[in-house]
Amino acid sequence: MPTDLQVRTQYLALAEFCQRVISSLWDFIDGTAELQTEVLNDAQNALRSIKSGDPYGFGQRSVAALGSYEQVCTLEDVWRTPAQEEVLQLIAHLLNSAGQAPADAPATAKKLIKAFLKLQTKALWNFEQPKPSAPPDIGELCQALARA
Amino acid sequence: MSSSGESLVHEATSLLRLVVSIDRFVSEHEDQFAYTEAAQAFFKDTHKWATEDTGRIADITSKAAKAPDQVESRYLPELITLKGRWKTLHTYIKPAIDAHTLTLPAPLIKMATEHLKQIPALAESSIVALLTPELMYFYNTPKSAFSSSVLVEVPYSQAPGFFTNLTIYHEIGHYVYERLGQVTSAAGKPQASTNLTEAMERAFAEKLRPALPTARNRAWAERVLAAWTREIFCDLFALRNLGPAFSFALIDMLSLIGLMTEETEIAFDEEHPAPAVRFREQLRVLKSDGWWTTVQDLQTEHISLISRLAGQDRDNYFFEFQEKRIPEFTTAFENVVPLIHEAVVAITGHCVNLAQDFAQNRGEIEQCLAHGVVPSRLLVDDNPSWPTPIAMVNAAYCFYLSRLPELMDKLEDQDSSKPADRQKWIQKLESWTMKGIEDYYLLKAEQKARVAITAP
Repeated sequence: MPTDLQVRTQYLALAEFCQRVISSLWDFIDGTAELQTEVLNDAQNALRSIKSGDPYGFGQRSVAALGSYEQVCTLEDVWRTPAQEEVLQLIAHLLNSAGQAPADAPATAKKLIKAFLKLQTKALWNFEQPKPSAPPDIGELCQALARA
Repeated sequence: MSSSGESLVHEATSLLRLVVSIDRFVSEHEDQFAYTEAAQAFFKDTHKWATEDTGRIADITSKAAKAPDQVESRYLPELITLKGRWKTLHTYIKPAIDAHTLTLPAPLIKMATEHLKQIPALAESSIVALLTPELMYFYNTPKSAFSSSVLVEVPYSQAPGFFTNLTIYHEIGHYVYERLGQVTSAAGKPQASTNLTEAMERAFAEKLRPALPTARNRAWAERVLAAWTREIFCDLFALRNLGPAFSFALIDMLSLIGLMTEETEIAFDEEHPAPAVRFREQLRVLKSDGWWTTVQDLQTEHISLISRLAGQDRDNYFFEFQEKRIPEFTTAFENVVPLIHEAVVAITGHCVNLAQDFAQNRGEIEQCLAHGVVPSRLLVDDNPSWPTPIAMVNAAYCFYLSRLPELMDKLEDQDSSKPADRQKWIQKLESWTMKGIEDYYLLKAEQKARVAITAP
């Protein structure tokens, strides 16, 4: 059995997380369901913690879809900092308008679907074709620790 | 039909074929051998998932036909993601089918399951053993959860043995650590577990976080610190449950795979703390739980090795990554270690008095083994008693390490200096020990049944 299976399934967990977001947004656009704020809140919290430089803490790590090194790397590869900011703004816009259904909500949801689809595609690719995650920049890390 | 619609049908068919083939494979094999209850439940779950996902595939196909604009961005990725789950399951099924009771130390699995169920919040857990071609034990439950089973890989060559397989307790520790991290109710989560998490957060915040500006570097650094903490937790969890037999088994396993060398014993790597630290903490538990006084005089290299490793100067420990030493990590980690002990003690309340029971019965058990007798029942001054499995395990391991020649020298044509003869008697010793454990649980079940019958 491949010994990297636990690492690979982290990518799959990320893809499943994206699928939950995408499905809930399509249901909202279709009008078959209300906006699932819980799913969007999860995504928002995860993104915020990454943006602030603090992926999920030790306590939540095992249940988080965006807490592991592999997942953070995947996300940063797909969404550079401006894209992360944009996704956060789109989520915030939808969450703020929950229950009011402004006219641009479906268009915003579609933009979010596009973003999460991109992330899901990369996660599924990494699941299928896993390669060792690039190590951190150890030189920078050591210099930073020496300065601290 | 549009090309994306055709792609979806193709993908759905391909997935369905995979689901059906796995389901059929399990059906064809599950009745050919006897399996542990946990494995049977795993196979039953597989059939259930096959039925559910067959319906889900039909549902996705039907919905996609009605919403062609969502095929590419919703339904196709959903099928591919679902296929990922089945590909993962595919990897587990064959090793689980191979692990029938004739190829496993079934009494050991039973004993470990009983111990696992003693932990608050984990009473429903069960252990599914998988046979792996690797010469290593792994905790291999996927991150994308399938069931509440603990999936533990055992090297196929070692599977029928006993002593080395005791290291599966370490792998079970991984599951315990992971599950305790997920427990959110105050009732199910021991305070000590919360304290451990906070200690990790604190050590990280004080020693590492300020110097690591990016999420990627922080995630990596957290992973390293969490991995070391988890490894010590797993060692101590195994040790609390098994006593010194775990340390002996770990030494044997690490020696078998060549990791017990002077070059590696003070080195941390990305996943593991240095062996010297692992045995330092194990020795601490052996002493505090009262085991050490009974085993410290054992004439075996294992004891001197534990003492030597534990005595290594902590200033010599180092963590080297990409040829650069990063002492901040080991410093931060040392602040966490005491909290690991507390967390382990909090969830292993069922392990009290094991050392005392061992000290009391060790001599009698070893006498049984020295005469080739299964030590299920002891007779001291005409009073029968039933030793606990842990007393049997430890006495058997001590006997193996220090008195095997005594047994062999009584027998004709057996030379304890010949590896071929020796390995034969180790195998017998393991069989007697497993039989003793099996008898213990049979007796316990029989007593329980008797109480149930006589109860009003």
